[in-house]
Amino acid sequence: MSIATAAWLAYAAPLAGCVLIALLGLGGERVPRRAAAWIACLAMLVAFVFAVVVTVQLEGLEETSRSVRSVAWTWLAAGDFHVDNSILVDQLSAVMLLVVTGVGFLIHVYSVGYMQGDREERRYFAYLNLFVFSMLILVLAANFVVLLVGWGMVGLCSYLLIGFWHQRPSAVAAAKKAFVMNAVGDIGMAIGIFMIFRQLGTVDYIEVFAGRAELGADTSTINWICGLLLIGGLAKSAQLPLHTWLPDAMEGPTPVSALIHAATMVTAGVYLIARMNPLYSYAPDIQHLIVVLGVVGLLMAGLIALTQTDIKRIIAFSTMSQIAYMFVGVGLGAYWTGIYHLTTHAFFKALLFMGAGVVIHALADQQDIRQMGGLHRWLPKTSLAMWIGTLALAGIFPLSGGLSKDSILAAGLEIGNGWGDLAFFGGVAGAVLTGLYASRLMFTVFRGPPSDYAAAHAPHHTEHGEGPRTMLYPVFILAALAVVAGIVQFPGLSHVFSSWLEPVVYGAVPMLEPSASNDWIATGVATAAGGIGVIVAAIVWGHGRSAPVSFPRPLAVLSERRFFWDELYHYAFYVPAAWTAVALRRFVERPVFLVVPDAIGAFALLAGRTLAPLQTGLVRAYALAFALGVGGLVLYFMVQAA
Amino acid sequence: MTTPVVQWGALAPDLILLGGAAVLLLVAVLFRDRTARDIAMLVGVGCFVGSAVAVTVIWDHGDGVRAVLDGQFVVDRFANAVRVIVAGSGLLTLMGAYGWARLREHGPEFVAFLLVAAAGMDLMAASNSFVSLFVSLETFSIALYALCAFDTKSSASLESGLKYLILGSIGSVVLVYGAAFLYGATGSFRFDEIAVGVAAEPESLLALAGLALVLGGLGFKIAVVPFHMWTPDVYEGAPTPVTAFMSAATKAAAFAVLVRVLVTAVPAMGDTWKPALAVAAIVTMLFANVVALRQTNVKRMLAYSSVGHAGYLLMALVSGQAGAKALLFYLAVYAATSVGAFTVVAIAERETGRAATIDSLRGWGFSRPVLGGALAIFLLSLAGFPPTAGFLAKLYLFAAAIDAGYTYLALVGVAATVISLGYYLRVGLALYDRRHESGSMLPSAPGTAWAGTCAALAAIVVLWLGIYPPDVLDWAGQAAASLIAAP
Amino acid sequence: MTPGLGSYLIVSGILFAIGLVGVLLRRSPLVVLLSLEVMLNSANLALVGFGRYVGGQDGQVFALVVMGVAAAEVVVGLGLIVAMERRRLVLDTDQLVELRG
Repeated sequence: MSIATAAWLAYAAPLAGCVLIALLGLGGERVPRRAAAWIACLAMLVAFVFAVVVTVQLEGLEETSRSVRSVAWTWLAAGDFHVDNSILVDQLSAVMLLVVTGVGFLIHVYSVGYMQGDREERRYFAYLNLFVFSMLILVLAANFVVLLVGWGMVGLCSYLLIGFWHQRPSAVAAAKKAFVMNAVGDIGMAIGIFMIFRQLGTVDYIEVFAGRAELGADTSTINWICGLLLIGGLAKSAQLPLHTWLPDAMEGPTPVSALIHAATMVTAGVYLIARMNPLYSYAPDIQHLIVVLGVVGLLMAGLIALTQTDIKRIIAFSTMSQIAYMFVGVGLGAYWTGIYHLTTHAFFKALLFMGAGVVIHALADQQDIRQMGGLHRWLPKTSLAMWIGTLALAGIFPLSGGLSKDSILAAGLEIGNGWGDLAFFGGVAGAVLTGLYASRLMFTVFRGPPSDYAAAHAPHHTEHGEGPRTMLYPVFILAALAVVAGIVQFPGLSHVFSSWLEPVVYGAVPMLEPSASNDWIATGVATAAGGIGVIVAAIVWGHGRSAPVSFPRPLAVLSERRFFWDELYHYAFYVPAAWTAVALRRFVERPVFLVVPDAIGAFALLAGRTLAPLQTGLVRAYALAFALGVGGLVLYFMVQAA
Repeated sequence: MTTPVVQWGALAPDLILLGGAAVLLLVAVLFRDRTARDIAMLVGVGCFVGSAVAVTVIWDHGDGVRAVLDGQFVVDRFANAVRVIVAGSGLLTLMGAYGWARLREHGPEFVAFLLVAAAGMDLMAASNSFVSLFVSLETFSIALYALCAFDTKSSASLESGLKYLILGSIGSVVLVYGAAFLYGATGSFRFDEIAVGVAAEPESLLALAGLALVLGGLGFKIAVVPFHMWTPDVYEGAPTPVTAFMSAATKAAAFAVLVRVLVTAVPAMGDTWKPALAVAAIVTMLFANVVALRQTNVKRMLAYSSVGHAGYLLMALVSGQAGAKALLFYLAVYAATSVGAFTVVAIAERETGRAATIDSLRGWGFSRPVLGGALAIFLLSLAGFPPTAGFLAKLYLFAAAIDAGYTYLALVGVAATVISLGYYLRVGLALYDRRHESGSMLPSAPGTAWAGTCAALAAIVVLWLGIYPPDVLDWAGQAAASLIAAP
Repeated sequence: MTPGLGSYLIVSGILFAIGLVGVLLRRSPLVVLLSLEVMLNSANLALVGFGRYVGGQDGQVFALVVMGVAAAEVVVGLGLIVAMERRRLVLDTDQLVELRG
């Protein structure tokens, strides 16, 4: 089987699953609801198998020819301009393909247990498969139009899944918020793509990358293009300043948070910049902007995570913070480090979300960590798995998260200039914060005496074990992956990941890979930083949730209110918009729109009275109009000739 | 005097339809009620499928162009493409009409009329002279008059039939008059011979007057402003399955023959008719879409929408070969969309027992997911949203107009499309109005399963062509090339 | 003196006008159908006139075809009127205004 065929099949499997579930839905209650769940899982398994086939075959090719472009058909052709439905399979998309289908499969299996008994289970699995299909469109796209299609479709699926429990007003509001923010990003991206088309007359990746010299390095054109594309990336990846939708998105089912808002969709911005590296290498100013936004974002999100009380929102802010690390990596030009962290993050963050899902199930949908505590006695396996995820998140050597985060910091050291230092020191500070908030969560939830609520609910819900096997096994598999995944890129020993991705850089700038010594320094410092965070957390919160926490007052307020971003948007956009609307209503709508229609109506009445016979359904009036029309036409032709 | 040779093969797609109609008249005598209807449906479906299959068989005969019956007809790929569109519309119409109560009494007659109308449309698209044009036009027109008045229990249906008959006859008279003038000026009814005469004397007043009258007569059939006034009334009053078929197939056949007349008979007068058509396109696009905004009856709104689409299509007539290709693609898409939309409206009417209005459709999409979803897709396609085929159809049409130097037409087209969102989206939003979600679910109307299949099929076609257009585009391109040489 | 083409066309035009005025002014569907026949026959006269002028039989043949078609049309028209009569609808085209707007 050729690589292209396998890739197309991987791409088609989730779509087939979605269609099949929708068709079964027509059968009504005759078809068991569980069927949808297993179809969805099967589709994902098929996709994953083909993804593996693609990767293995790609590995078998010469390093220089590991880029397969396959055109299924031309969707639009006008002169030289053409838009194809095409896919590009290369080292980068293979990694994404594996992550999306692999982690996606595990989360699908987890969902089987998690969504059991939900009345709208079928709709859920259809959406979930559709989401994976959309995500594959995004990562396999070979041109900007298909990319934009995928970009919009994942946003749509995210909207549908955040608002899945549409009886909850908060879920609907969160879905809308995510949709609007993402629409802002989509528009930015669409304008960027349009600029590329205007400048180069093509939307095909390879042609655009080949023609990037026409855009010039460090010109305002390329800066605009990269900046506009970045807006799309920032919105999709919930980065400053378009991040406020992500915590609210936790209104969706927990597996959705794991799949879309941790492992795959929110990392699309990182993938975008890595994919567009030939363009971004020409726009150093934008790259610096990415680094700055990343460093500020990772610190800010880490601080916010420290004081949140909703288990899923803490993990959501952690996600934002970790994606900020990835942005720092790609912003520094060390594109592979961003993708590397993306991959390991997919493992340990999906693990944490799914563990949180087990906890939430065991506590009858309780998400407030103040109502938890001491859960270790009821959920020992979950606790262990989540500790692995937490330590990986905190960047402890040699867990996967540690190695991948260190590679970003090492890249900062390697560059050595001010931007590199900013990335390094910001990243180390962030690592301390990560250790703190991640461990705080764990201590509060699992250690100490249980809260009254936990004591009341947990024993009852865990009497048959910690949860269905469909939920636990994916958690264990991800825990194992979180431990061992780092092996592919071990400082000074193995370079599998970086050398695999290296040829994807088309540009003249070589892919930044830190030296072994810098790598070890970064690893040591980061592990120490993360460890300090964990230890401090152990001292402060080690005895459970009742521990007194006293941040300096302003910082605590800042953190609890999430740095006032929602308020900022409220006053910067909503309030002016509302004012404008009121003003428009008073000064434009009333005088213009309420008067003009009357005027038009009056005119229409007048015209109607004059032309009344033409409009009242009278046959002879129509005949007259027809005769006059023909007469007019004849007259016009005569006049033309004369 | 020699007897003209009959090319049976080339006419097979139409003869199959006519033969089916003849058989059905016998069935109407021999069988009754539901048996008769079911036999009629089988025969009808078989004939439409057979007609389409016959087209694929003869597609490449004579390199795609054959003069038939002593040059009275030209069966080329262009005509064959229209035959496929007509057959497809007929097929979908039959499926959608299955549950209609009237068919339990007069099924065979209905299908027979439909087949005759389809045959007339096919022949008109292949006409190469005003004689054959007139005969085939009257063949399908008379069948349609009867079909419009088919529901003799409904005064609206009778009114629609009589109005269509009276106004249509005036249109025919004008057409014959025009043909007579062109005959007087050039000495022939055949398009190719008229072209010679016109080229020799392009300033002839007689020929110009004749062309103006012909355009008036055909303009009536394609319903462009100001010859459109019958359309809303007739579409609204006619039984909805008939409206579905009329909107899709008549439009295809009439536009096809108009293109043929313009490019084979009077290309020499292009400087005169092109500006006239451009003006008509602008007026039609704007007028129809604006008037549609104030409609609340969905059928009537779709009728105005149909007039609006005729306006878009006029653009294709001035845009050469690329225009003809875009025209065929657009007509194919429009046929599926329109039949599908009217079929869903027919089901909604049957369920509630009254005309479908925006208010009566509120929240309906929740209780009828397939029909509602299909209607939403049709509306998006009519409004020209990707990934439906309506988007690509408009895109190719506008691109052809721009390439032919009619950028202003494309701009007006875009403006008219924006206006049209106002009424298409209004229906779409009403369909999924959450406030009416829990509205009591009416028992489904008879034939809903078939109509649902028809709507789903049409929706799949619309999506399929929107996502995977190359085959049909290639087919349209071949058809256009058989009629118009590349510039 | 045999009448020339102009005479044919003038008479044809007059007939056409009579027919049109009939359609526009009369309210009985029967009379409207009658007027339509007058219009069609005016077109026939023009056809025959041009046929004489151009030479050949095409014009006359077309006129015969038009007559046949007109007969078919009238059949449907009369059928419609009968159906309306059965439904006890007033036979007045001005009352056919249920559909409008």
